[in-house]
Amino acid sequence: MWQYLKQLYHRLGSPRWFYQISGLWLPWFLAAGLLLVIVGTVWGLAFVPMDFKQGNSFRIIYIHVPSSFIALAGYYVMAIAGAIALVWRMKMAEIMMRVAAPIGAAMTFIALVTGAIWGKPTWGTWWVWDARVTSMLVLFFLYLGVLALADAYEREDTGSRAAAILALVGTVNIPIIYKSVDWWYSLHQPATLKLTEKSSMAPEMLWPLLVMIAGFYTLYAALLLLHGRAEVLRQEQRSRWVEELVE
Amino acid sequence: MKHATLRSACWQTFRRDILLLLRKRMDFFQPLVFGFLVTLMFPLGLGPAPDLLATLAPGLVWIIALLSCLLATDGMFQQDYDDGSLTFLLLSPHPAYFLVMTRLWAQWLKSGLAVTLVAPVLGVMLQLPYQAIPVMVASLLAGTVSLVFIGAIGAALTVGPAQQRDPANAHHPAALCAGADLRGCRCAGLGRGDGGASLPCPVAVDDVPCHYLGTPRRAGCATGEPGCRLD
Repeated sequence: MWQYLKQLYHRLGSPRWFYQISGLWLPWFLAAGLLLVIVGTVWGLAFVPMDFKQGNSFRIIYIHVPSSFIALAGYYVMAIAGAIALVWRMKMAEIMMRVAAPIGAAMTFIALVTGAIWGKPTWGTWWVWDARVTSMLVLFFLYLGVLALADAYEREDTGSRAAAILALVGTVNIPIIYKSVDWWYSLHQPATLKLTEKSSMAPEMLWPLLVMIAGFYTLYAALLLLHGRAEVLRQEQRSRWVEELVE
Repeated sequence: MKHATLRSACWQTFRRDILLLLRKRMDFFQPLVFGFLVTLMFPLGLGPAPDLLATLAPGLVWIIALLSCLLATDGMFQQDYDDGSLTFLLLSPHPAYFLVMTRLWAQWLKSGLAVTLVAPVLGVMLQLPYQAIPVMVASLLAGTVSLVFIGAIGAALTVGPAQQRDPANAHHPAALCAGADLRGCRCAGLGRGDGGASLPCPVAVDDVPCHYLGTPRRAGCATGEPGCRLD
């Protein structure tokens, strides 16, 4: 098993292999992700009972929470890929770092916007400079910084390296985001979902949320593969296998 | 070759600016993101108290608009100077006044107007009362125009070769280009690889709008002719 994983990892380091293997995985990820998200959305929006305090507005958590999860997880993906690219100079890691940035930025944006929309009826304001919200905004700018830096150089690998360093430096923000609700007095509620204890949420609200989170993770993986494949084709456009593929 | 009318010259100038904007989108987003970053600094520095921020918000948004307009306007002529297209703009038979005006309005569209459109979001983030937002947008609409026009004076005054400090460097592309253009149009990518005819300047420049305008930056010298190194 371990040997197989190691072999797979090394194979995935080659853009060509990545393109072939990801082509086999992609439809499964895409189908499973879409199925989970559709089931979760319908379940969460139509069948879950209304919250007795917040009314219907709480239903936005079925988008807000999963996209925030992905915003943070996406940063891990980007930073770890960046670290691998810096240490082992692996081409595929550079590509994954590049494609993780726009997806993560989009997810952070969705999390911020849905939070603002929810905040208006619940907190009475679109925006507060709350520890959690502010650190998420910083995360958004870190994503944008990585995006901008990666494209700022004439040579692609120089840009990737600079962006990888920025991504690594930016990881300092991740524990701040996680802990912001505990460290500062904050409007944002502390974590409801916990791995070790029982969740403080009613189960009939919790289950669709878990389905949505699983769906977002799967869709994220599919998006990553999809963008990764496009980027591989773009960077390898002069190689023979791509030429054969096009023909 | 037929002379281009003034209107089409202005249109081409405008079109080129918009094309540059579309091809170098980061240049467009950078001042806006910078504006958001400055916005982020105020609550961090002043504290997040909504009342305080609401009082300061109009002024803060103006500061942000000023900074991001300046950031965008600062280099608006420098790139064109570096790649030689500014020379062509000025060598055109049409009055430079209209062409420069066109460029300024294009610049306003991509910096001033963009900031103005983003300003309501900044205002909401800084707890500005909602009824004040239309007033702020209207004031910014007028204000950013003047910011861009004033900033353009500064941008025009500071244009110059980057290697000015180093007289030994005789290979400055703009100088090379300008010199070459005046003589033989070698460098303008006019499709006369043999050095072109030694046409007098105004005639040679006539067909510039269709060549340099609308081509990507630095594409003018892509043919690799001798003495033409644009980077």
